[in-house]
Amino acid sequence: MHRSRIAFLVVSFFQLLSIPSFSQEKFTVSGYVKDGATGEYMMAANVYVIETQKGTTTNGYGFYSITLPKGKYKLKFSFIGYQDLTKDVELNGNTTLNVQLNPDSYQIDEIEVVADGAKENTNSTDMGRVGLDVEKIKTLPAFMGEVDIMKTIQLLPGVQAAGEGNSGFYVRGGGPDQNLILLDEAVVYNASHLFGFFSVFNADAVRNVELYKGSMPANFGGRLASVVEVSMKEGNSKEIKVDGGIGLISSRLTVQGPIKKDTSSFMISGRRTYIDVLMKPFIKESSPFRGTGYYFYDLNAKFNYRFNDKDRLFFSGYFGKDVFDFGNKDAGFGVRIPWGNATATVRWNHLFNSKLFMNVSAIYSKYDFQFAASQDDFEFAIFSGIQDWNGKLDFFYLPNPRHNIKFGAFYTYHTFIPSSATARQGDLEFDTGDRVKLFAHEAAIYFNDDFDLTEEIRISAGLRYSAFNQVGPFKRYVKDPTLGTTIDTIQYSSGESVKLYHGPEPRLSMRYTLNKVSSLKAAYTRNLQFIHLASLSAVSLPTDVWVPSTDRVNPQIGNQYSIGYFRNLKKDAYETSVEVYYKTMQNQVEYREGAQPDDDVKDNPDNNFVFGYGWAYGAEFFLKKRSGKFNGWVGYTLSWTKRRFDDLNSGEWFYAKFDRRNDVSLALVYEPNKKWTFGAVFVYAQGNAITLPYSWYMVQDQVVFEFAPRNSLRMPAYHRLDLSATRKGKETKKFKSSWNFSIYNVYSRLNPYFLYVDISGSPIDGTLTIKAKQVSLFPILPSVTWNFSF
Amino acid sequence: MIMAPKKTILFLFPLILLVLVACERDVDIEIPGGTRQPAVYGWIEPGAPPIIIFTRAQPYFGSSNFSSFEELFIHNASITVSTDNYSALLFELCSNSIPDSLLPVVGQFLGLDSITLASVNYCVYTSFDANIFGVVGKNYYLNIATTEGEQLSAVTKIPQPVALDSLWFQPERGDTLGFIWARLTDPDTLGNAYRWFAQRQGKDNGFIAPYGSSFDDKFINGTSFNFGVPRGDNDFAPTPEVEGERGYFKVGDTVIAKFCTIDMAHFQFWRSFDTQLASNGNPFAAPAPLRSNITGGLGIWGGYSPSYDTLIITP
Repeated sequence: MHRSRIAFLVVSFFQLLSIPSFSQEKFTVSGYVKDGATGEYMMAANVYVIETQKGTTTNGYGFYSITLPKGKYKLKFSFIGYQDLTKDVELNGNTTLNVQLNPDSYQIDEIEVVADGAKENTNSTDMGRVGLDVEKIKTLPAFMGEVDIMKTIQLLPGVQAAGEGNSGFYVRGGGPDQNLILLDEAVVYNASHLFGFFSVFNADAVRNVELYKGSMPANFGGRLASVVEVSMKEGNSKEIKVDGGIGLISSRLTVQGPIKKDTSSFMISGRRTYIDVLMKPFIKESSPFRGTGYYFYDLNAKFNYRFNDKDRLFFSGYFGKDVFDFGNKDAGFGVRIPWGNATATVRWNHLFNSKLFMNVSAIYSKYDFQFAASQDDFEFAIFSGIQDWNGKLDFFYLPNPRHNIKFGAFYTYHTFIPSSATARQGDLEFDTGDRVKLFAHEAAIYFNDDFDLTEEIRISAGLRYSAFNQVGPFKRYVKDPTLGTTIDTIQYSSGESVKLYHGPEPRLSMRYTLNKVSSLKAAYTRNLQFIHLASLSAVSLPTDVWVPSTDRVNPQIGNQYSIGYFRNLKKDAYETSVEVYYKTMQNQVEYREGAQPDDDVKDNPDNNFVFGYGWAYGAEFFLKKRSGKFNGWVGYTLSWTKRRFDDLNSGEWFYAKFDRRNDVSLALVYEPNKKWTFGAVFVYAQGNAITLPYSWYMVQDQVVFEFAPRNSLRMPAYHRLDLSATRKGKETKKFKSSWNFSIYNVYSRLNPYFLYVDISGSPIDGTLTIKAKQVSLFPILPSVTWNFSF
Repeated sequence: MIMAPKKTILFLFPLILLVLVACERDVDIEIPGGTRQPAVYGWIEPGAPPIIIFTRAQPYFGSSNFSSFEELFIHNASITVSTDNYSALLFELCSNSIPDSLLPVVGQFLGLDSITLASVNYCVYTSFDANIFGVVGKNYYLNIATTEGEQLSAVTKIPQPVALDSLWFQPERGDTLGFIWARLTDPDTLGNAYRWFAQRQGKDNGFIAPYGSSFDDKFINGTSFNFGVPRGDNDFAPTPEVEGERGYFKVGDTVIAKFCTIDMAHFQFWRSFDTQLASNGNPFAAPAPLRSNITGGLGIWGGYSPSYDTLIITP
């Protein structure tokens, strides 16, 4: 009975695929769209067939394909910020049409109808997908003069910053580990420098940023909340270009160019800070902090080679590191903390025919963190890290204009080092257990079809099936449930399966066109997440460890339902949307109450975890003005996010620490003329949830605290205004420069970074004073950067 | 001192950066809902009576009408300490009813100087019934009923004592100030925990545990190793602290080391106590609640099994 029903569904599906229009000969026009100035392949460029009033977009590698009945057509290619290009095509056989779009060199008049690219807001089924224009980001005010992609993402509704100066983020009530951050398909595990004050992305090396927060298509998986897809520039294939900037705290340089014109090109980009060098004169000689040093650097490299029209090879790499050094010779005390990411991707694009495009990638990604300290002859070091070997196979199949099909497979071999420690005192080596490594295989296959069901309804239906297998070598410490001591160990040998998880992840989204300017969208997604970030503290730190699902830790399961209304106003000059969502998150991971960093040593970290359930819901309002002298966006989010764990807060539900009821973000850019650009950013976020003590008592004549229920209190609201001005210098054909002035926190609000309760004195002699104190980080911070390119 | 650096260092580094850039100020914030739970601070040692200091927690803000220390004590509670085969009801003893001449002895027990004891009415619950004095190896059960109908209970053990191998002084600052070092051989069984106290004869009015004074044998099981301890703070010392000498022992001091074994629950309490004191004010530390072994209330009921050693610090 079942089998015939399945057969029926499969057959019906394929019949849908080949809906006959007329029994006429059909041919395919396909090709690549490139940037005429740099030769970069353009993704998400629009290709619109004027006669049929239908179109498509280029994929992530700049490839498009449209199948039409034999005949003459006018194809219009467009992309925001570029001049439209219309080409006549006589389709009497499969045709290849590669085009180049030239950037706009002048302002677009406000009233003019902007390219059909504006239709993306209402037409696409990608609910909750937002593309970020990297060039636009560069005009916004920058923290300490450093343009930051991750900071800009936090200005979008539904995305909340993790805190002052912290580039970790939360999407729709999900934790910071629930965001998949990809750099040229490689996973970046810690996208932060300097405890989150800056991200690892050097904007000069980035071509494109896409954020998926509502419905993640089936080719993405492994995280519950969002995907941030960052694509590096390929490298100008026409001429050598140098871009750079010298700023107050860091400088950057990017060199790109052809190796063989229009065939192969490269890009190398680097950035380094010199905060340590600058800080030194400000640290007093007598200060115990003399000898502190901190620096970070990023290096991006890209190389590509186009063999022929059918084959292209790409290589990309990223290497970044932070090093924090602190020493106080008087106290015989020294600390060194290096951490960093390294990624490498090799990709091969192959075009089977005009309808079938394939991408094969081999990827390596590594994140590690080390903390080494010494006090006289006592030395101590802990390290943690994660390393992935990953292979991906992605197919894009466009059988006809109604269907845009993606399918493929994904495999990763993970190696985790949750936290290993060594400690010695003089000659004595402390027994901190073996260097613990955890291993796992993660794999998935997916299928996704984006198709027009009717004229009004477009559906994106996909299924991803994923699996995760923890394998040995692995030592499980079995604990006595009451005493907490180890009573047994189970040893798994190399490759032996410890635990296997697998499950389906359906992804469904739908767009219903109400009229020319508005549409209704709805989506349901189910996601599995097999790796988890266990965080001890209230703030994300490089000390947070990534751990796999094990025999004790189940995969996280997320279900998200969303619905939205999208409308373009004033002839597509404005995009607006309202989205409402509801999410559930199962198998959420937290450390148990009172956990300490050294609990994990000589133990499995997951023996210290407790598990629970989360749910989040909210509404996001968005208004964006796409072009004109004055453009930008404003977003408002009203949201709740809650958790319930049997072993935390006495089993009562509590707010997640990043629950923020009201959140407003405003980003504006004003370009009055060719010379000047002004930018403004305003954010308002209602206070983070916090746990503070609410009673005190005496132990050993010391005042100690009793804490209020978890996250039951709120910090004061966070709000901030930043302004920037960019002045273009004299531009010659060869050399361009500009000065950027930024002021962060213009009205110098001392935003709360952290609150605590301070006690001084003693009740015994009546001198007890209890005060709540607030720590703030940044007052008004001006900065200057000089940018150049030639 | 071995356990202290690990935690302090881990929390210290971000603090360093914060100190360089952060500003701090007082802020008005409502912290409603503070409870007034009963809190036990109790201990028992071999050959000595159980001592319970029984107080009530006070909310920080709003409805606190706390005005004097004496209001903290909970009076007229029914407190019973029992072994497996004997039970004794404790009585309440307040410093007002103790003759002044006996106050120093009482102070020795409580770590308080006689001047403070004379100025505040400090109350403890204890017993003179020798049958309930501590015995090594026994379990001690605590049961409390307050006049307000609250019920509390706890259990602790006095484990087998473990003596230090040796004790010596190592100068740290100049030739006269330094830390005391000890050598310990930990028994091969996993699950031993310790707490260190020290008293300077003539200078301290009781045994004082410094920060980081408790540790367990998770990393040192079965090994012999050296550890160093600083001198703990005592804000109620009869002799005031000399500038620059805080934390150090001095040449000329006669120091009695009281090295105790404690059970795991007792150790978890002191470890969380140290963590809370270290982490307050640090945004990178999770809120550190104290790990109490009291059911129905806050605090600790702990057994100690001491071994004593005297070290005369000679130049």
